[in-house]
Amino acid sequence: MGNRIKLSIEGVSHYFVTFNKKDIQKTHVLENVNIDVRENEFLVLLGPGHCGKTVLLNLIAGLIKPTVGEIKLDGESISGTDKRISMVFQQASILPWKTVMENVEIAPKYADIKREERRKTAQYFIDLVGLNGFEKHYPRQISGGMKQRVGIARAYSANPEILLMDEPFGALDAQTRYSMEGEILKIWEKDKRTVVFVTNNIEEAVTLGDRIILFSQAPATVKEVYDLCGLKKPRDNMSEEFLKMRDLISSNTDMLRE
Amino acid sequence: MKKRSFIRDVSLAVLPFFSIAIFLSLWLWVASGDNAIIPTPVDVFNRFILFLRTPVSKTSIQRHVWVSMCRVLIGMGSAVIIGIALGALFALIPTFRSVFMPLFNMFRPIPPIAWIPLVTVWFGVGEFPKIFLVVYGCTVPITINTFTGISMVPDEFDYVSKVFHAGKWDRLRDVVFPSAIPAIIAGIKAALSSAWMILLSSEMISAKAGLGFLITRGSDSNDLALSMIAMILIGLIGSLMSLGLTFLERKLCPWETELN
Amino acid sequence: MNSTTNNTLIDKKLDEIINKKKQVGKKSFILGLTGIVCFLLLWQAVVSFELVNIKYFASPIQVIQAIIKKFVDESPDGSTLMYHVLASFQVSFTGFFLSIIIGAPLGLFMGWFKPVDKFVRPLFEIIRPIPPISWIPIAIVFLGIGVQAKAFIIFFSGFIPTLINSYTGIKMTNHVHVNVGKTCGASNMKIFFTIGVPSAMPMVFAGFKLSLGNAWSTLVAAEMLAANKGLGYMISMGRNFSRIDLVIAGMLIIGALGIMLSIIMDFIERKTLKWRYIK
Repeated sequence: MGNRIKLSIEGVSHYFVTFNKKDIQKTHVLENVNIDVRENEFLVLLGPGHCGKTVLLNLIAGLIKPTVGEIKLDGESISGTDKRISMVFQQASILPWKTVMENVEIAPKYADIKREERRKTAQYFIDLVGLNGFEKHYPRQISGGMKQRVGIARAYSANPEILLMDEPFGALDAQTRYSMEGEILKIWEKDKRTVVFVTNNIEEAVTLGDRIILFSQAPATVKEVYDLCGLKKPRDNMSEEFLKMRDLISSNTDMLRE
Repeated sequence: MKKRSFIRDVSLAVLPFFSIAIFLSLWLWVASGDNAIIPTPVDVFNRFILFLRTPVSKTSIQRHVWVSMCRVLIGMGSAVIIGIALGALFALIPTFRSVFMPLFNMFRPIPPIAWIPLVTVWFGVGEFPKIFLVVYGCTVPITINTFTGISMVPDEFDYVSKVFHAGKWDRLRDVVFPSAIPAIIAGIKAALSSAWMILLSSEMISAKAGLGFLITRGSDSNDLALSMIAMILIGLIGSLMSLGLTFLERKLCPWETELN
Repeated sequence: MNSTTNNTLIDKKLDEIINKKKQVGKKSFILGLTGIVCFLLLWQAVVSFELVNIKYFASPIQVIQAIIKKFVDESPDGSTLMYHVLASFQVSFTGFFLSIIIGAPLGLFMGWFKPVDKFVRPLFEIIRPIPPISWIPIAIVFLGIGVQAKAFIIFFSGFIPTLINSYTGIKMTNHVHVNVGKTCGASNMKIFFTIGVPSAMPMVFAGFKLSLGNAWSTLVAAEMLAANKGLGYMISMGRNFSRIDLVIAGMLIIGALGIMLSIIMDFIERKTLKWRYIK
């Protein structure tokens, strides 16, 4: 893949400082992370649970500032949240008191885009994720998988250049998970943008990623970068190449040592 | 097997009536006889009918009820407005909180009822002191709950508002307040039972009309049936208001059942 | 892992963060202190410069003097401060202990055994909406004006939160744990004592704290209506004799003792519940 670099993470290390009744605790979460994210690639960040991948995503999103290091978008340092970066959260986190449509159109609404126009955008993505007909439903009336789809549509409606996805299918059952993986690939094919996808599931990583960055246990560092551009998508998870790649990665992970 | 469970179900269903029956008979037993010190249920009922016709202390029964209810409703209403405003100020403006929260916490442990003598010295025996006390007593739980509700917006919603660039007011309207409503309503519920306690105490201690006044009046003039009527009325109205609040809660946050 | 240069840079950054937090904490503390001091000065000024009718007010200094004097002074209500405080404690503790001794087991049994629930529930739901204070005339009729009547009212006000919390607490018992007990062949009673009750303890304790708060504030009302000693009585008398300094002193003491009691409760809770976790 010869695309230019969209996002670069340079020398990022992060510590959390917690103040616990006169006790100060320093938790080392990330250690010297250096990653280049190429334009329009589907990049997967893979690592054992609780190793710090979510923290890295939050750093990219600008929700927290790294202790040391820099994150650059299109060559410029970003500080705080940026309209070019959007996010799909682990728990969907769609607002329970708003309808599906109101949730999806939230970003253009805050960008002061007129109602008609933003409804059109929102509707396009609602259709794209397959939730046509559910616009007026409330979150309590739809299933977990559907809620996650709302989250995805919402992130897309913000018209971002980079989409961050934080283990979006982690809370779903296996069946729904497989079908959502297929769906996200379809959406990505139709509307190609840069995606940074976090997961702790090797199969999911091999199914979705153009490149996979393997992290160690906490404090997370980059262990290995795998390039999967050789395997054509959609990938057959029973094919020889798939299984070979999976075994290669699996033998390298810290996962069993949790 | 089927027969056993049938008997079991029937006896369970009967128990509530059984216990009420025992309660009533106990009441009758204690209240009967010539040297009875408390009225029987029948006595109470008769007194009630009498009360419907003849006023006590120049005031009809409806007026007594109305007076008490007004005090509670006005007091609660004001407390809701002040409490939510104060709680929001505490939660959203750190400087305000730093300066005034310690003072608030200083006043907090003093029971509202302890204020009754001081308030009667300042404002006399009218409507204002009673309503003032109810406002004071109810503002505290509402403020605390509003403060907690607003400052404890779940991280996930906070992140959503940041990533999608909600403006300050957008954030308050779309994220902060809706997620704080359940806590606020819990505060109002707590305030409601406080309100009745406070109102009752102040009416019992110094008033010329109202349900609390009736209780004391009945006690002073050896007319216990009157006191009991007042008690029953208070219980009924209190339950109704509490039911009303639950209904309101369900209407305001239909999504709460799902989050739970 | 880290190179030493990197290490010092990181430490520097972290120290920055820690210092910032400490600064904010200090600032907040000073602001709070200023708030309180300003309030006290304002209060004192209002009385000293007679900005209000001083018959209805007492300055902070007067209040403190009243408290100190009251340790030995028996006027105008016939007893010293300690006597009142002890009287209040006596009544409130009697009522409080009765309410938790009866309320907690009753709530636990109601939450576990359906017959008990069905029997007690209707009575409870009828009694519940009636504020404890309103029972005073009836209490006086049966028990006379004295410690018993007041203790009864306080018992009443403390009984309800403990019962409700105990009930809710045991209803929340984890079904998985109960099933484990059943598969081990334990009887219902045994499961109740070994699984249900211990797991309900945190909620029960929360109920105790609520009950204590209720008991303490109901005490004040009870003492104003039917007593001849105690802090509530002292405030009432203070008003009758136009001793506003005593009135305010009494209010502050009631508040302070209330805080003290809840701190003690927190301490007890931490000690007893900690045991269970270490077990």
